[in-house]
Amino acid sequence: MTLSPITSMLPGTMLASSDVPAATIAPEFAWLGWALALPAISALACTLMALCKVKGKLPGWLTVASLGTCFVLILKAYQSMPEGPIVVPLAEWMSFSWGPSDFHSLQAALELYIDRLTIFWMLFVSGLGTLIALYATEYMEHDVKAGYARFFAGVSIFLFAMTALVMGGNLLLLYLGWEGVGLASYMLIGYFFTRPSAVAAAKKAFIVNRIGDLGLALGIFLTWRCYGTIEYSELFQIAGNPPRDGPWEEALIPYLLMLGAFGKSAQGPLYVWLPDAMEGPTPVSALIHAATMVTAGVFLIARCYPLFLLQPDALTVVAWIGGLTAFWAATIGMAQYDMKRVWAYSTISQLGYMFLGLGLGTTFGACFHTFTHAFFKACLFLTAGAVMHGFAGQLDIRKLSGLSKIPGFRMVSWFALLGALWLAAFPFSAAFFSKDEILSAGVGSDRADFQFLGWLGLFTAGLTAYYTFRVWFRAFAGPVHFEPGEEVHAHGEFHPHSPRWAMKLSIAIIGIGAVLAGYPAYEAMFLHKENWVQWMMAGSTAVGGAGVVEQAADHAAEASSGHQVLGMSAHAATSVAGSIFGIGGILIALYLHLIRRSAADSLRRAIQATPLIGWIPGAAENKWYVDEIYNAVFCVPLWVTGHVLHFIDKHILDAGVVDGIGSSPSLVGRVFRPLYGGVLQSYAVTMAGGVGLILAWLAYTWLRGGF
Amino acid sequence: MVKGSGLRYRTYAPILPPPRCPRTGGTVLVTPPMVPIELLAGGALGAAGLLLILLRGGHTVHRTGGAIAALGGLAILAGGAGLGAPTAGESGFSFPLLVALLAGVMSAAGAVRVISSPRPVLAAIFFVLVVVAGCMLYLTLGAEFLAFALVIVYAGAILITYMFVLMLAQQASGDSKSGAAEYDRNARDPIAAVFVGLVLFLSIATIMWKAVDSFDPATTGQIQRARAWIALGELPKGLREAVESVEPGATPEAGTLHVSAGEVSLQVTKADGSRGSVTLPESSLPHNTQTVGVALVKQFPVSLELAGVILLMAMLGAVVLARRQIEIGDAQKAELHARSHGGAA
Amino acid sequence: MSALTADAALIRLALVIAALLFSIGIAGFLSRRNMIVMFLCTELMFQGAALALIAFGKMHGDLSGQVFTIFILTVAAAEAALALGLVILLYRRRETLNSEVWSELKE
Repeated sequence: MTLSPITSMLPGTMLASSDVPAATIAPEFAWLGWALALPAISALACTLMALCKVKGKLPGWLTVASLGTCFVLILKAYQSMPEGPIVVPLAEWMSFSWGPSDFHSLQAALELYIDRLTIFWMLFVSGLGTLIALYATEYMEHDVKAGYARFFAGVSIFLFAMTALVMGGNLLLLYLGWEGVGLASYMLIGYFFTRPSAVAAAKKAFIVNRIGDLGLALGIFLTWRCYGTIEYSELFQIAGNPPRDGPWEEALIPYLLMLGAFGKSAQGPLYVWLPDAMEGPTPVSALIHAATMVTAGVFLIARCYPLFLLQPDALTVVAWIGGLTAFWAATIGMAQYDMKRVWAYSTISQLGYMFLGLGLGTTFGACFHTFTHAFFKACLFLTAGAVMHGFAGQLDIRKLSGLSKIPGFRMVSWFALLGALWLAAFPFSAAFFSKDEILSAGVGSDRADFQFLGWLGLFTAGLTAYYTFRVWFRAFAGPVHFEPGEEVHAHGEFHPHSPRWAMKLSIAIIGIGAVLAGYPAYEAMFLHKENWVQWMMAGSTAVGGAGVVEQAADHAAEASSGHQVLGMSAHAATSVAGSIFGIGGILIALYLHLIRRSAADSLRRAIQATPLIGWIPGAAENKWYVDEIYNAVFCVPLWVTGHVLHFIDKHILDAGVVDGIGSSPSLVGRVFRPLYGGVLQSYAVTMAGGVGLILAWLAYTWLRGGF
Repeated sequence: MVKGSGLRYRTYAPILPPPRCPRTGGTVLVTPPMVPIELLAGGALGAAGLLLILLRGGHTVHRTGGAIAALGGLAILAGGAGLGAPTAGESGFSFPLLVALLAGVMSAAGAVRVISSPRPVLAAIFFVLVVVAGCMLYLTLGAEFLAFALVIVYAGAILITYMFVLMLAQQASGDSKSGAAEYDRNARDPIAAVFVGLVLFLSIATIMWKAVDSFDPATTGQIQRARAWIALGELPKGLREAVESVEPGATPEAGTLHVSAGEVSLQVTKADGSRGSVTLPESSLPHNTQTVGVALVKQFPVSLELAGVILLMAMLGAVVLARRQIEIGDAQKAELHARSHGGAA
Repeated sequence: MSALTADAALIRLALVIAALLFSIGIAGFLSRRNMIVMFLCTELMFQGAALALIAFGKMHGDLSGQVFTIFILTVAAAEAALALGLVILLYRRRETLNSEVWSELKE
């Protein structure tokens, strides 16, 4: 293993970019193509059913069946997977060639690139997809006649696109999936298209994602220009070779890819679409906007990590954006009242952790956190959905209280508590280990800025614990009290209807999955085995091809030679500090939101009365006015420009130029029309005048000596 | 070309040789006006007069002023054409020219009256005046046959037809006090009409005026009378008799006719067989009627035939057009039917 | 300017009168509204053309001018016959000689 000066600067796993093993071509794995085909078939069938206005739950069950089969296929692939990465060619797709060299051709076959990272990602994508689709068959039943089939068509399209994104063998397939999940996201956010807020949210998500997608597209173009290929199997072998274009172009690639990742994963300035995306049905929020799609940005960076390793400054930027977004979103989440919105901001915040991990060099930590987060966040969203389903759309934590004491909601409440503990990184929960993996890389770093980000992340973990339990203590604990939401259909007294088996089953399986997600860490901690997630990263692009042993060796080297923080190793220090912050946050929430709820209000009033910081609660509740600032900075100027251009187009270009040209014949006609009044003599005047002029010209020319 | 002078020298066609300075013989750098000044002045004045006459058909002041202006313009034109130019040699003035001037003024004034008279009958009568004046001009140009043919055909036939048609049509529409219909009293768009006429006149007249500059006196005169015979290769009877009277027994040779100033000479084979030349007085040449007749029959027979065909077709056409076409409505039919039945009963 | 003989002056005068007749004929044809007078004006134009032909024939010492004038006389006679027939026909249709009532050529 070679240590280049660049990679040696990075904390965490030490990587060399050129160590990604060469892929072998494995046509015998062609059956994996069904993982791509099944959701596509299901999408087509559901679309047909939507067109035929099929009544009943057939589309839902079809989707569950196809996604389940897909999951089984992935499991089979997991079992039979060879050591190194494989390329599974499925079909010819794009193949252009216009010259002798690599730079005169573009090859992008319909093929799969399977390494452990792919399988790892597909396991939780297809697994959670199946469970959430199962959940949705019951959750969406009130819509059976209207949009049921449309909903499942959207889910199937999403799964197809996500599969193409993760399993595709080149950047073009990744881009196809990238845009596909964006489309599915748009369709599902705007599922209730009669609601203006849902339509606006869908448009917002789509447009904000445009910015990121532009970056991704440019990044892919530049990749091709620099390396002459967009096939992973070739790209990672030659990345690091001197590029065709100058260093400037090569250095730009990770920044552009990063922009795409930030857009899709709601990071940095592009996070604003995700909270609004909660307008979609809750299963969509759980599947797309919490567990899977938003992690596509993490996957993109993990997949293209060899390209990022060439530009350590780019990774630093990723770390900073991730760390700051985590903190920023947590501050907003503390002041929201809508349960789904709080979970949305927590998603942004947790995604920030993942990017922080990527930036700090611990792709293992980032992917581990992605994995655990997918489970506990899906669990939280599904319980929120159960509440919403049962209380006619009510999600305001000021109007819900003591749900755990209502029959039928007990199980939901306890699984919500499980999710909340995991989100709060309660000691020895799965997220505790994954978060610890990330934060210890920061805290134990040689670099001061990374140390700062580590401590900021620890502080943010405390905030996370506070706002998570603020929600749980408010809504699920305390005295029983509830007001139904706006979607009350039946007259008379309102009775919350509790979830039935499909929803409960999904929540239970996912909750158990969240618990089990921590198993690799327990295994590594107590049985001193290798961490399963680390094993799944081994040899993949995410760790630059480093194997488990090398990773572990790096780990150990870092642990022994790394900074002693607070007199302990970085890991231990992070664990302790994280526990303290987490439990502290939970205790504060316990006091303010369960034991003495009036104290929260008086505290809020006290802060508002303080001169210098009195504005903070209102601003946090209004999301720090980011939407308003964006509106003023981007939307209003564009709106004004658009109207000015529209005015110019309508009144100057259209009315002046186009209509002017159009009406010129009739104007000219108005001049000559009197000559054609139908009276013979007026024609004769014209004719004789013409003859006279011709004669005069002839005479003139002749006399001048012409001809 | 004079170099360094600011004026540009203009190349002229052979028709208009560059003017020479009388003193030095060099090229004069001043270009003469494109349109002869007489044409311009006379045309403009005449057009103004014509416009005045046409604009307000019935108004006396306008008509008088217009008539004076038109006549003035006419005088300028006629005088400029006939007398204005310096004449070469002996006298620039001759009796035929005087007659031609008179006839020309008469003709043009008559034409003005034709188009300005509010009563169509008067217009037709003034047209007769134009024809007669034209006849006089033809005579001065030595076209006696055509002069009389013109009077016979136009005054005798065409104008009479017009008169009949006028009588046929005018009886119904002849209205009111002045005896002229409204559409006869008011000209339509006289400004445009006069303007177009002026443009045409200036163009045509300028070309013709300049064309006369290339006039070669040698080609005119009696040659035209002889040319047909020369082309014919055959001599007219009168000429042969004249030869007989001068040189009895001599046989004139066709194609040797030569006309020079005041004299006619031709080759003959004398009675004794020797060849010689005979000179005859000019009066022994055939007259215009003879030459035109011979030219028509011998030189342009196809045009004669064509003229006949055209006349035949015109006759047929006139018959077809003028035949009364009666359109009978249903009521009229029933009436006719009833009348015929009533007559029978 | 070259000097003119009496013959040339005569020819020029005839040509100017010919142009004058033609132009007055045109002006009349365009400004008169009586159809019969309009055709009279075309006769005026014929007169001008014929006069010009004869004058040029004299100038070039050529008889074809006169022959062509005979042709023109024929055409004029034929034209008069046909045109007057047409005028009668039109008059029967509308009971007027005003040419402006015939405006079917309007677009």
